Amino acid sequence: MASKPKWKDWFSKSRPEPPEGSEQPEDRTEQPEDRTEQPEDRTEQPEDRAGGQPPLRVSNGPREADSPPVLSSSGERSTFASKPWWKSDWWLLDPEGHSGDVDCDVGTVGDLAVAAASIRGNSHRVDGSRCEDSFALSTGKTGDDGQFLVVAVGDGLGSADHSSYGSRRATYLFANKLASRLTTRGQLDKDSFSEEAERVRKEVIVAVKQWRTDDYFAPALPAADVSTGSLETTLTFAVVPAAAEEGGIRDVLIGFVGDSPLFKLSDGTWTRVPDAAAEDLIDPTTQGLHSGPLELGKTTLRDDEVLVLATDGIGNFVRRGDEVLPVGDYLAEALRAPIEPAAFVTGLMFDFVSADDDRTAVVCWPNRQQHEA
Amino acid sequence: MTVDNPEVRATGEQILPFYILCDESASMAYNGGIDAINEGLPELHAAIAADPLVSDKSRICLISFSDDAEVLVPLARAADIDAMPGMAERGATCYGEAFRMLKAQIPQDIANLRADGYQVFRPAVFFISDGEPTDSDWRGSYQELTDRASNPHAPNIIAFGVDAADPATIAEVGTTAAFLAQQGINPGNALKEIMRSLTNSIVQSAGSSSPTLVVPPAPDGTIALELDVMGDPEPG
Repeated sequence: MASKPKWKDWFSKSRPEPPEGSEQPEDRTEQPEDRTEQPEDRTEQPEDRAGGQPPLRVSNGPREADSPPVLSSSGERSTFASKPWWKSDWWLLDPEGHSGDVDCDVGTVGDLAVAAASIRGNSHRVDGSRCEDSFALSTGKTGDDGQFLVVAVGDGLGSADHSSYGSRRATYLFANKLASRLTTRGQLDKDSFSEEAERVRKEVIVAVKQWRTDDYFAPALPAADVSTGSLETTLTFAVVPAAAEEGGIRDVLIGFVGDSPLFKLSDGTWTRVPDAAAEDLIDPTTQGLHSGPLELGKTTLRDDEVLVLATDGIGNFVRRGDEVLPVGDYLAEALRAPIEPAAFVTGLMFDFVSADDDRTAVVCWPNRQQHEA
Repeated sequence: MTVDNPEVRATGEQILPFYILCDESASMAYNGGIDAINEGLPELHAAIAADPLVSDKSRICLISFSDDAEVLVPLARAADIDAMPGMAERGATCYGEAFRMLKAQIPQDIANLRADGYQVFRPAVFFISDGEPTDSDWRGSYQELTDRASNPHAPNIIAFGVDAADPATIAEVGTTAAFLAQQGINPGNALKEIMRSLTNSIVQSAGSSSPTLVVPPAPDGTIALELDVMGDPEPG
């Protein structure tokens, strides 16, 4: 018989004892405290068909422990979150499907660990419409085989009828075209970036309006009948080298149209890039891919920092002026190091009154090997 | 953002307060206005309380005015209000009493909300009357309420007039929009439409992901009035 398992108690409830001779990975993670009562396991166990292999036991799992964090001043959930989604009648599907409740990618490129997610906001769940946020990740290579990541984040303007499509299409096209162009140029200098970003933006504005009836996600109306304004979206993007220069620093090329923010997280402290004073000059209600000016810049990212591109469904609650809000504190801790996709998504589903907008965050952790499991 | 109560931390939770000011003068009973409002208030309450986002992000206060002003429902979340009280005819139409009451009430309400950690949006007032003010000095208290230089809590006012309400006066009261029932339209029917419009305005304002005051289009049977724009002060 196998030796006593090393798994901690809550995990061993749902796991069979490992077969004899198998290697147990060392458990180096702190397991969350199980605060829920475990329901009786009433699943039928399959017969032992593997010649002495123990049957697979499936647990319902700790459900309460996986709930999104409640970050309200009162400590109470919002009314929307006070009932399970399957009971409330408030969490409605988009009639045409693809509501976009959760869209998540994680993965690595070079020394970067990347997690990205868009979460449909409560205001869209209540009225059965789609998430209007989007993100796109694309990678490229410079002439000397230096890999890089292109991140694009979009927030479709609520007043625009087809902004969900506009946002998805624009971020997808922008990230892929920019990665392709910079790969062709073979270098990541500021001039190449500026020229290509401007060119790609013009191309994307044209390409976003080119669809045929029945195209995936596309509006049902012919493209000729849809104004560019009804496809409007913010766009924030970054080109991140997938290896650091000497000293553990890399230059990140960034760009914006509109108010979707970019942050750096340094030792638990949020810094908005560019800083708030410069941002005050922009009217966030009117800027979009089709109408606003393209702002380009550069920032540095140290190996001990984290880069976060977000939409205002998150960015508005990270900090206000000089004050860090509870969401900022919560995410500063949660995003200190790479995390599992489910925990990443759950963390972004924080709840409190008026946090009803769609949410997107793309998080880049440099020098990924420095982080423990 | 600062919070008045240091023990409560601001979170970014946003609240949009609405004040409904209803005329309870005697004429409102004769023309069917009281009945229309008493029919509309429960519907407004039900519509707001049923929407989880609107209910959480809005607060409603109901004030009636006649010879004096009375807070019938203190500022509260719709879901926390058991039932809307009924309006009843009283005496005259003293606008000044209503504005004085608001001037006193709004700062207290904002302070309470801030103490609970909320970020408070500029309040919106729906003002409903069927006649000319019977108090001659109402403009003084109106000025104190709406002058943003001296009153940082000055609300946005959307004014509705029916029956004998004077278009110039209603336009003068509205700071954001003003509507007047058309000639020949039954005042009770016009007020039913106004109550629906007011409900829609609250639901749309507080239901969007970023609370924004959504001014209703002219309710059926009413026309939008051009607002009274204050001119430059006379030189010297």
